[in-house]
Amino acid sequence: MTLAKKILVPFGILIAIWGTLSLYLLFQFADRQRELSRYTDTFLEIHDVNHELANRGRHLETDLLSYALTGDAHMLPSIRSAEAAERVLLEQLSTLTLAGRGKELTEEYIRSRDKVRDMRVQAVEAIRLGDKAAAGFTLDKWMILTRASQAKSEDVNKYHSILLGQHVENGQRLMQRAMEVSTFFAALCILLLLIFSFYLRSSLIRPLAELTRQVRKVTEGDLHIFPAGSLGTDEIGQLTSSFTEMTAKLRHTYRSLEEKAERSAGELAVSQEQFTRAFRDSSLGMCLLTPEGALLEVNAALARMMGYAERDAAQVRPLDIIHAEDQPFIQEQKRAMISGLHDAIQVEVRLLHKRGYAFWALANASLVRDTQGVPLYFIVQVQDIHRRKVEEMAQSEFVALASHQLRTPLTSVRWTLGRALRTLRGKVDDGDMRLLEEARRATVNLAGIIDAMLTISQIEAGKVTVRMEDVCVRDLIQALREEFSGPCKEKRLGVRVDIPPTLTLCTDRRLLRECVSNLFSNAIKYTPPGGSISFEAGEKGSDVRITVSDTGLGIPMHQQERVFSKFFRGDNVVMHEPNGTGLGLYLVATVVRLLRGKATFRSREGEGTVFSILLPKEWRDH
Amino acid sequence: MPFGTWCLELGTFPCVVLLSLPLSSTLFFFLHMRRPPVAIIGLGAVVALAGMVAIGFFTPTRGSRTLTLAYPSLISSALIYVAEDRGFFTQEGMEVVLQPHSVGRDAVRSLVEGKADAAVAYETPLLRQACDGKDLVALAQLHTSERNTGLILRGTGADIVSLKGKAVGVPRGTNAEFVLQQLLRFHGLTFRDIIVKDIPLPASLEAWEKGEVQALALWNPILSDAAQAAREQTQTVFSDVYTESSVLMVRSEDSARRRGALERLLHAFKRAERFMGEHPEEGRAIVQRNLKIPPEQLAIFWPHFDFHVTLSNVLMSILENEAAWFRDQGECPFPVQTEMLIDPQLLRSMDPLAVTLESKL
Repeated sequence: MTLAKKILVPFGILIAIWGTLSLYLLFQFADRQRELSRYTDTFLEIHDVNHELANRGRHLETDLLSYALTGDAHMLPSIRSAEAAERVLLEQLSTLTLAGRGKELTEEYIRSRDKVRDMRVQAVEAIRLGDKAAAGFTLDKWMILTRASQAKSEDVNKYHSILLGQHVENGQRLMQRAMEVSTFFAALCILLLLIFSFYLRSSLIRPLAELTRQVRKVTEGDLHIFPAGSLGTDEIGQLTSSFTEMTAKLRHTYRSLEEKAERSAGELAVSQEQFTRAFRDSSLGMCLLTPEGALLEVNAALARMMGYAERDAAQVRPLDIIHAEDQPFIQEQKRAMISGLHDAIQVEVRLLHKRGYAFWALANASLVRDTQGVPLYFIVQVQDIHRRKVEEMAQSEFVALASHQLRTPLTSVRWTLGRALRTLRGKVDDGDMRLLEEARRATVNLAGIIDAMLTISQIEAGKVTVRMEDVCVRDLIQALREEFSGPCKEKRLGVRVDIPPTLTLCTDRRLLRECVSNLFSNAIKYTPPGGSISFEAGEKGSDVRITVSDTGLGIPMHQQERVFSKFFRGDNVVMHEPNGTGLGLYLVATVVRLLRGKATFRSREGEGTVFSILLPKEWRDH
Repeated sequence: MPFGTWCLELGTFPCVVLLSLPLSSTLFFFLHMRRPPVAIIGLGAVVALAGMVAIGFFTPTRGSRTLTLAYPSLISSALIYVAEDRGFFTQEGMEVVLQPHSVGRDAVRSLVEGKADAAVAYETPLLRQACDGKDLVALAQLHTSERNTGLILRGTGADIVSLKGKAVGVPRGTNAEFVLQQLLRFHGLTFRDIIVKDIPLPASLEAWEKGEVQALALWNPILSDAAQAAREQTQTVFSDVYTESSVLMVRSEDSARRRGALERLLHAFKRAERFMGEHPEEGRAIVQRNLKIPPEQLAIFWPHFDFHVTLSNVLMSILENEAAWFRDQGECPFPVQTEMLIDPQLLRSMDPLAVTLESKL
């Protein structure tokens, strides 16, 4: 039985009995009151009628005796009138609703009055006829009957008076009984409630107290508790059972956790030792930094790289060994990591040697947080890449110089071949024309490669200046669409642009156009005739995302990791388009990086590719 | 007040509720407490309580009493026959020895002589014994009738006046004598104008049949028998101004001394009265069996009887009339205080509605 039933059922029974009893007494009392009221009315009416009849009787008696003595006929109308009034009163009496003995007595009384009247009529007649003997007898009988009738009248009055008294008394007695019953019932309720309270104490309070004691024990850390006595099936019993079960599981879990903690402590010690050894003995420079930027620890390799003794290196302020031009960028990257934008970063940075010269280093930093996500420290690996960096810069400079130098003659060759094609058309045979055409196409392709290489080398050499302006993305892409409308029409490609006209971002128009142009060009090249190309763009947080989708050949899964590498071309497109440079997507990635954005893609071979460029909407100087 | 009586007054329903409360609560705890011994003890206590209540309810609180009741073997004694037949005396814890007499006068005499503890008779013997200085009191009327005691005359159209100088039979000292006196009075005659023959009741019919009397003043069924036995036409007249009452009377000192027994006796009569009201045909059959009257004959008289245990002003009125007559006849040497002949207290304490008598004391 549930706790609610245990509490509600006894109270419900008590209330139901109390209610029924109260209603019963109420109805009884109302009945008695109605009965009393009815009898009061009846009694008063009987009393009044009898009183009036008695008065009339006395008058009649006087009149009749006077008539008998005087024989004066003038008295007869008065006697007749009194008799008529008496008849009315008797009829009134006979119409009263009476029952039982009261009715019988009243009927007897009415009959006796009839006898009196008959005898009076006889007496009057005898007097009128002058028969004195008959008059004497009838008057004698009339007197006796009148007394008997009076006696019956008194019986009727008395009977109803007693009845009325009994009803009043019954009402009072009922009230008294109601009080007695109420008192008795109240005492009974108190007794039952006492029993019920004992019952509650044994079935509710005691188990609750025991449960509280056990909970206190658990709070104090003692998980070794067991149920006291048998458990009931009510909520308390279920709660106690669940609590006992819970503490048993808690005990088991606690034991498991202790074991795991012991294991983890051992593993942590080993791991700590391994880390310390790796940190100390690593050939790479390593250090630990606080989130505020203070050095915690520096290994020997980094100290050597910076020209410090190991013990002095820990005293150096990190910002003092970073080139002034790179410090804002490093600070921003640190803030980005702390804010959770990146978990780890890889940057090329110029460090200052103790002797004062700067050198290029590749720094990998990761932020270690506690279980609540609070930053604890940075682990930084530093690698000296000065020689490679210098070589790359020299190489880029060479490429830029070579490209620049090659462009002039190449332009001349392209122009010459173009002119030759126009002037020699029809003068040489078709085979020669095809050779000239092939030479012009190769020249154009070479010029593209050189342009791309020049652009890339200029970017890598840091010689490209970013010119920021507000660019309407839709206008830029619509212009490209116009530009590439010829090839699209030739290959029956459907081009869809779904870009809000108000979408703008602050970036370098020329470089953005280079990126999108490369992606559009690739899409046209590698989408079979009848396919479709879609441009979409929209805001994403503080960035703008531009996507170029096609239904082209797609990129094989195994080559997707090298998509943004130099000279990458998919295996499936080489046969289809042999004249690609393999520099387009590398250029896109390089330019997007320069514009502080990110280029991504997703592709499925045979179905198409979606390239996305994510660029900051607003340009902020570092 | 015993719980049973209390229950009767309050009604069955509250009693059932009150009794069911401890029973249901005990049952409840028996079902739900995990301590059967406690519940069993509680249940036992309730059963014991119920037993005590039942004993208090069913056991009569009044002890048994023996009482000899003298009465006339007449229709007017119907309540006695019914009470005896239905066992109401026994149920009231009474052992009533019934002592039948031919007339109430003899029953009263038996009471006066101490051969009976109570007697039932018409009012006339009571008054006559009072005139003789016997201290009797009436406790209740057991019946009233206006057309039971009368006068049967020989011949059709016979007038009471014609009885002048003729023999009229009547058992002296009974109400029939008073009825005869009234009938004569209203026709201008007195006992001195006729020859009054005091005939014992058993001999009355024989005297009638032999023509020893011209008229006979008696009550039914003898009046009816006389009418049937007569060879000539007869007529029966009743007094217009007389109502007979059979009265339960006891010796004055016993009304208080034997109050308990008399109360039980009256209770038995009240139960007989209720039975007569509820089963009139059965009541009449009991009377018919006891008096051995043919049913069709009894059916003629029966409607003229009113069987109620009462004390009314009508009785007082008749007693006063008869007392006046006795005084006029010189049969009562001192004025009788009729109020002293009636003790209404006992009946009033049992059934206030039955006593409509206005005390004039």
